Amino acid sequence: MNKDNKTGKTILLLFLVLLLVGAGIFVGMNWNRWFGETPPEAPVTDQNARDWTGEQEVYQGEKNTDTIDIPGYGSITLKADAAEQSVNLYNPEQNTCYFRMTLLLSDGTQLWQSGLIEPGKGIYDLTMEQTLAEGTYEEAVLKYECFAMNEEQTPLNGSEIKLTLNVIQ
Amino acid sequence: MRKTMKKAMAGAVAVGMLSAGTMTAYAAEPQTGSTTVQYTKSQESSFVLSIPQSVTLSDTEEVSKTVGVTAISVADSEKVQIKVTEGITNGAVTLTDKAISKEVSSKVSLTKNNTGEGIKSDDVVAEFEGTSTTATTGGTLYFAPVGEDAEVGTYEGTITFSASIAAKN
Repeated sequence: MNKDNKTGKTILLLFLVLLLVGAGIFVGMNWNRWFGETPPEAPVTDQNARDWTGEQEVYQGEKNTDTIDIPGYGSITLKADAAEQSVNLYNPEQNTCYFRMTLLLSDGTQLWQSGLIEPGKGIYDLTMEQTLAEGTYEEAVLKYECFAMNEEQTPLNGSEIKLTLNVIQ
Repeated sequence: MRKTMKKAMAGAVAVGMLSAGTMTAYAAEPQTGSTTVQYTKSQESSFVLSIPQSVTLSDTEEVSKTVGVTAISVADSEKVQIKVTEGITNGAVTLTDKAISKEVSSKVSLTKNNTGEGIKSDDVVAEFEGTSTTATTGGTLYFAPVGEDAEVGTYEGTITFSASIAAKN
């Protein structure tokens, strides 16, 4: 009898130990969820992303129906004694007219003239009609002639931007 | 036996608590990272001039048009000045109907209701400073009525606006 009691108690004891260990594990695994702060979600990759190939057209706002936006600069930097130049001249995308741009010195000497440039297009490389020696050329003019985008290419109001040409080696 | 039971129970509770502590050590850590944020103010002054694409005059009513900038970034010591360089002579704009070889003219001023003098070729019609697109002076051109005596026809002309970055006084 005593032996049976002893065995029973041992089994009961083992069962209680297992129960307590199991309960401890269960509480430990759920402790943060019950009592802790919600952890931030780990960031995931954006499935909308594509290989980047350079700047692309982005929304620039509504088109100008009765105004013309003209980019203006305080100065433009050019390379001395070189006809080939790198520039950043453009017709803003929101315009609804063509640009013809002309670069002139203060005495009216024409350095370069573009063809008709559509809205959203730009000039990054140009060939000047004459080279310039190193120096600062003040009161140069970047002239914008604007034309309607119809068959007649009706002349519209235009602009002249007075700027400084910084010609460097 | 009771002492043994008590010790066994205490040990089981201790094991359970230890297990709970161990489980919490395996909770996921939130991901963090850092990136460097920089701002460099450019020394190059630039702006985007906004001019009316065209102006439709009236026989009997004064017409107003705004000249301004839609973007500007100039040094504190500078301002953008806008003038009219072509298209306005002796304070008036002259329009031509080539088909009938007739002209009409309209006085252009910076004040409403034909109360001010007409714009001269070197007059500043608007000025802007800093990064504000609100004109510090001028900004609106007022075109007087053409008058009812003009012959029927389509009269056209263009105005060229000049813009430059000037030093503040």
